[in-house]
Amino acid sequence: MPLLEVQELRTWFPVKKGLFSPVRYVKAVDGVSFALEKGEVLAVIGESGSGKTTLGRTILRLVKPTAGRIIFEGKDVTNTPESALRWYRFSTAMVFQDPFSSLNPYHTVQYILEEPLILRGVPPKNRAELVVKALEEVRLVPPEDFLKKYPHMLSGGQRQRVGIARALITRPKFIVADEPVSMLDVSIRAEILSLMRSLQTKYGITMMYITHDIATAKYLADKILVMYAGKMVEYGPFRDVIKEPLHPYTQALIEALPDPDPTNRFKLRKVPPGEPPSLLDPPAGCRFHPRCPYAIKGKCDKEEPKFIEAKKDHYTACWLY
Amino acid sequence: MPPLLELRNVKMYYGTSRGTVKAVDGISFRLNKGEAMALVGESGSGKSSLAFTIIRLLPRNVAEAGGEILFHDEELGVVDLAKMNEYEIRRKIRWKKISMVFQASMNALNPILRVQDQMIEPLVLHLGLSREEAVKIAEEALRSVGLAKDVLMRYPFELSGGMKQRVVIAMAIMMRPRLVILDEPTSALDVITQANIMNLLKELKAKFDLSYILITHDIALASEIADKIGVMYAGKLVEVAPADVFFRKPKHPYSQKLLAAMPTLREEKSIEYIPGDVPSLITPPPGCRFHPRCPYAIKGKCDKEEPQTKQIDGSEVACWLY
Repeated sequence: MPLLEVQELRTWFPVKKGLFSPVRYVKAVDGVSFALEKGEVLAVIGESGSGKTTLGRTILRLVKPTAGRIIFEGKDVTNTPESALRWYRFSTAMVFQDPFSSLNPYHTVQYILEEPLILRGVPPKNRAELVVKALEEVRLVPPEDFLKKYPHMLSGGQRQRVGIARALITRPKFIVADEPVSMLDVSIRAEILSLMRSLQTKYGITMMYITHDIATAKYLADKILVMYAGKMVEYGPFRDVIKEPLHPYTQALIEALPDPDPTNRFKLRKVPPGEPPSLLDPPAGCRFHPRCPYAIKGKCDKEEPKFIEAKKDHYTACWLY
Repeated sequence: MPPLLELRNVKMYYGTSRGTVKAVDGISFRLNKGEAMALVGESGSGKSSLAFTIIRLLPRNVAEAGGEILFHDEELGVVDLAKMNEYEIRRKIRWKKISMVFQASMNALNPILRVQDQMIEPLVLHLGLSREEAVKIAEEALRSVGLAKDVLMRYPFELSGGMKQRVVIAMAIMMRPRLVILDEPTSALDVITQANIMNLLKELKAKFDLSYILITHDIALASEIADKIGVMYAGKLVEVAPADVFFRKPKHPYSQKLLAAMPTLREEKSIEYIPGDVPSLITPPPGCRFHPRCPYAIKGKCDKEEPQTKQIDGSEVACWLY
């Protein structure tokens, strides 16, 4: 039995323009399905506005789903009322993108880490011990130097470690990490990624890693899910997808990403022009067709492609397959 | 032929209540005509401060500024930007000879002004062109960055992130400057848009024979455009090398570490990281500023004496190992 199963999940936000105009929807997440076994890491890749963050927040029940199912440890949590959701809150956690705004500036590092323990009713004498251990785990050593500090006294990398320690201190089974390294310098990213990987392996945590940067996902992910304009366009084992991306959008994402190489400056990258569509009024048919170099006229702009298993365990939604 | 830009021992210190911040501390390099140089380094290494020093947008709390910034131009001859006053810089240099694309500048477009009004403002106000002339120049600039001229009549909120960035680049090149300083020009953009903007910058460089100074913390992005790489650490330039040499054989231990810490997609390697933090620019460590984080630091040497810049197979390195 998978730890987490998501079926045809949809999150639509209603938008009303005038008093008598019909309600329209921003279809941020529009039919996403996947399953994660215990200890697996899924990378959710997409550009801004692709719905990847909304997907993460919906799964954690921070946003109400419009349709579909979220099954955690065999229990359906899709529409469970908040009062009966405490166990789910205790089993999950989130690491946020911005380490500058996700830590309360009026609280010390000690209190930031203690708060989730207080909520779970851990007695005070155990709390102090757990906080010190959590700081050691994220390599903020010696812990005594950091306990009484406020977030503004820390560097970006140190703050993100506090964010990770806070998420892990209650030993959750499932974590959503939303762009945890995108605000950090490239040189610090490596350190935070390897830290997350080692803690994830050590505690067998199941994780959803949301990012727009496939290169950082490589160091964490077992599986990959590519989103475009609210739809999932490709899903499969990370290595297979990177080695042989099927969907033209995934191919473009990989092509767009430079590796350090001095010959890069002599060539232009073959990437599609334009930018992702509005989610209020997405294009008909395949949502990528206006930018797709292989779009088939009368097909891709009319009918929506089905999500199919094009190779073993490797799924895509594209009329080319 | 003299280089387009030559910096000799350039310094710029800020005065703060906690002490003097040595943001740019004795930088020298040369940039040739048509050449692109990337300045890489972690945040707080002084990259942006150096850019502001070159284009003479000094902060108000500047405590000490020194050195020579020699700019060579057919029209003006060789001029020292550090000695020119603000009026001369405005009339003769900024926009016309050297322009800059600021970090996150696409979000600095005024939301209540049409693109046209923002684009022509510097031309009319600082360079004294007529409105009609200025509009014509703006139109032409938009065309060269791949935007239709009806963008002139739009407001920034009607444009996507990539389009706004193109407007800002159009502004930077509209007076046909010789040098464009690009401060993290793609940091707020998505990967595919970033690749499109880098393609555009490559095309513009070839078309107008531009020189670039690209400031970034992303070495992979630097390799997209740079003919040479300058690595900054704590206000100092620790290595300057041609791109072909730098990416194959970085000399300074800090450069080696930066490259090893870079997550890559295609290459199979495990990433390393640089332990410790960037030092304070108020009280930088004595000797080589990288020595507390350097695995090869020589005791009694690196922590005492500051290394001088040396030439080694095409690279200029400031390190006691060489």
